[in-house]
Amino acid sequence: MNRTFALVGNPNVGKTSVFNRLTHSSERVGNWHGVTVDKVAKVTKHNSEIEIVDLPGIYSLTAYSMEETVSRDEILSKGYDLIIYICEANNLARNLYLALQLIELDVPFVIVVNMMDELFAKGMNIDAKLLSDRLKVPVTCLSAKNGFDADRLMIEVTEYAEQFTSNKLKLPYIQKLPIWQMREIISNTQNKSSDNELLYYFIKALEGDDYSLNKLSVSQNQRKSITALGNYKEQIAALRYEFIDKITEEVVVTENTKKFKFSTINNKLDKLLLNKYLALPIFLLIMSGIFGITFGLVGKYCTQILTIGKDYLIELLNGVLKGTALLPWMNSLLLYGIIDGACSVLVFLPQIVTLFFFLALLEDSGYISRVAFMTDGIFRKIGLSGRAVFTILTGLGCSASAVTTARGLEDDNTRKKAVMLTPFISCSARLPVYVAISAAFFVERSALIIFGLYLLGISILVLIAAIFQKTKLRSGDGPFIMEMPQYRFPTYERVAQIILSNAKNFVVKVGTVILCFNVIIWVLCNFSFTNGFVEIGEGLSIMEKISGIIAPIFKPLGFGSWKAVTALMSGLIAKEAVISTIVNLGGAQSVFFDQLSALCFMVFTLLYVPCVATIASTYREIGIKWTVFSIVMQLIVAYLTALAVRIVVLAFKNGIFYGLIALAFCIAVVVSFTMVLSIMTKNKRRVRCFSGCNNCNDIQNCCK
Amino acid sequence: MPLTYAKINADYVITKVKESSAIRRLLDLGFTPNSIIRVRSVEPKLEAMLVEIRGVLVALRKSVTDSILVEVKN
Ligand SMILES: Nc1nc2c(ncn2[C@@H]2O[C@H](COP(=O)(O)OP(=O)(O)OP(=O)(O)O)[C@@H](O)[C@H]2O)c(=O)[nH]1
Ligand SMILES: [Mg+2]
Repeated sequence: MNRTFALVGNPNVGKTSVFNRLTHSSERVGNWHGVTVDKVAKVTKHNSEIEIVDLPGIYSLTAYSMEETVSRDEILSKGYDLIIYICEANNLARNLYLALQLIELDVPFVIVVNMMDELFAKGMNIDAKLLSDRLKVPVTCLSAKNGFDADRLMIEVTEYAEQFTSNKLKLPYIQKLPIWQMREIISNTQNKSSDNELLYYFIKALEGDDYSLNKLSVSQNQRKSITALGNYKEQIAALRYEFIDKITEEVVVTENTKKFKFSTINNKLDKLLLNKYLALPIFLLIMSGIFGITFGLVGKYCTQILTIGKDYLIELLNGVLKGTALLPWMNSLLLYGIIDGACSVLVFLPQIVTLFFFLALLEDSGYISRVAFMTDGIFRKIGLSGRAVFTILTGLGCSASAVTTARGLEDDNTRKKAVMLTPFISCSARLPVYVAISAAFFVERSALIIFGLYLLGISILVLIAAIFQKTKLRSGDGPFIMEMPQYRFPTYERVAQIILSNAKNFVVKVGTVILCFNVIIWVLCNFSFTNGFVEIGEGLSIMEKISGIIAPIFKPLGFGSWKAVTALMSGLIAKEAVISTIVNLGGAQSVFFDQLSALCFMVFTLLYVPCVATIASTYREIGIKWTVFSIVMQLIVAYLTALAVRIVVLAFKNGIFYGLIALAFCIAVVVSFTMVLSIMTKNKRRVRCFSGCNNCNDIQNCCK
Repeated sequence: MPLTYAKINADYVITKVKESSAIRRLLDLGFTPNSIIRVRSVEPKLEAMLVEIRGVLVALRKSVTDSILVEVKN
């Protein structure tokens, strides 16, 4: 018989870490709240008939953000055979708050107290037997980080799921609530919920939870009667915590009072990293260090060595293939279409892995949540929130997954903006493009140029976000409430996993998508409809004809050649394909005329439409209308910025006076763009959500 | 007084959480009357605060700290 168990718990308590151990997977783990934003299901390694579902973190069954709504709906409507409720040992009281709601709901669940290693480090322990006794629920304590007996856990919880009938605990605080009055008020509704479920919905209705009031089909008059019973919002939360505090006082035991080093280290680090004057300089220093090592050290040595190796390989193969009976076009396809194209991207593997390694260190350490806190004031001014840091950080790795992390953002407008603006953050796939082109044209200043491009991407994000503040997409005044995780060290095992999984993803992508696309591009560039195999540059090939039509549009940007256009078009499949296409077409020196055209091309690549995977994610998150809007916006922004860079650089070459005039022109362009955008998305009818929940701005679809 | 004006590293007791769109989340996180709260850090531009409640650190924007009323713990 197939069963489905759900992993439920507060954010950042180690649900995905437990999931990965139970199912032998490598789902994303990170030391901040809201890493998992959608449900993930897999069968256990112990028993293929049991499926485990990892859900996004949730604090209470009254959902607050989009990913919490996913979890609430899953818990309330999917009827899981068992809920494995993960708690954080360090923070038992707050974690038991949701556990009490599961008892109110009377669903089968077991408690797994995770991160026991951290509690032991503080010289403390949890009396699992006593906790189980108090809550009438099985309790297991473990550490997902150090490993646990997954098979035993699965056997125990499966046994419990089979024999579960109802929770035996009668929660004492329920007697203090006007449940029978609720029964009288709501007696006439057609609700089909069981008695136990009704009790839960009554409590939630007393808390003013809209979802439960709708579920009970409560009329306006009934709502008024419920309100007349009194304000139970505060009281219910206080009663639950009163009950929890009594239990935690008993079950959390201090074994060694001398071992309090752990929290002292946390406090000391916070004092330094959140210092009023030092916080921002430290952050900038860390980021410069990361970029310096990735682009400077690793870029200079590893990538250079690999490039020499690649060139040697191509030469060797060239000699071997010349001696075979292969036709010239087959030779060319194999050597340049397949091997050179793919290898020219593969040489960037060390840099990609280094970047992901540092990003994972930032994520796992808990530092990035501090950055979110420090930068909230700045982000609020441009209509985002400190939480946008998580999206931006993920965007440095991969735009497609960054777009989905925006679900944790406070309100609909902030989320939309984060989704549309994230592609301006340069993802790791664009890194090979910058490195290869800047190495060819800016040799010594290559690292500086790349750093500048990253800064430009962030500046454009800030600028467009500020412009959006003048439109219908205005936001940022909502509440910002975010729990800070503890500082943590990633294990060697986790570091190895990060390096291996990112290296694997990169190699697989190059070996499949990029390779296939290289072959297609090679065929289109080397064959014509009428003449068959043709030489590149004769103006006869299919690609030369197609790209040649579009190329004049890019003349003002300095790269109006069919080769540059072909490279940009291939970037729509995956950004790495830009560089493999350039290599296919004879290398950067043959595609760009001079330094300036190469620079403008890189600026355009930084800002134009992201790859199809990101477009698909954008569509899933914000729908077709806003996806089309974001594509058009990205193209306009990329074109205007590249044009501005060209004009300003050319003008400064002619003297400071011309340079200043050019700058003034660029400012005028930005101002007119603001005005066009304001008119395009002008908010004719400013409406507010009735419930003030900040989840919607639309009066018709208001959740109330 | 609102939590916004609390001193760093001094203990306070929550007296009330004012009605706002953040109240539900605050209550769920344990910001209930009579709970002890302590400000651990303030954002450089004084727009947000890092507070400790029930052993957990929570970052709150000024608009939220304005809605939490506290008094000095005796
Ligand atoms: N010390 C310690 N850290 C752990 C343990 N389990 C998980 N972690 C760390 O806790 C952090 C959060 O882990 P996740 O598995 O991503 O937590 P989650 O509950 O899935 O988080 P969300 O998806 O954001 O809700 C990561 O940094 C983990 O490495 C443990 O047993 N001990
Ligand atoms: Mg997770």
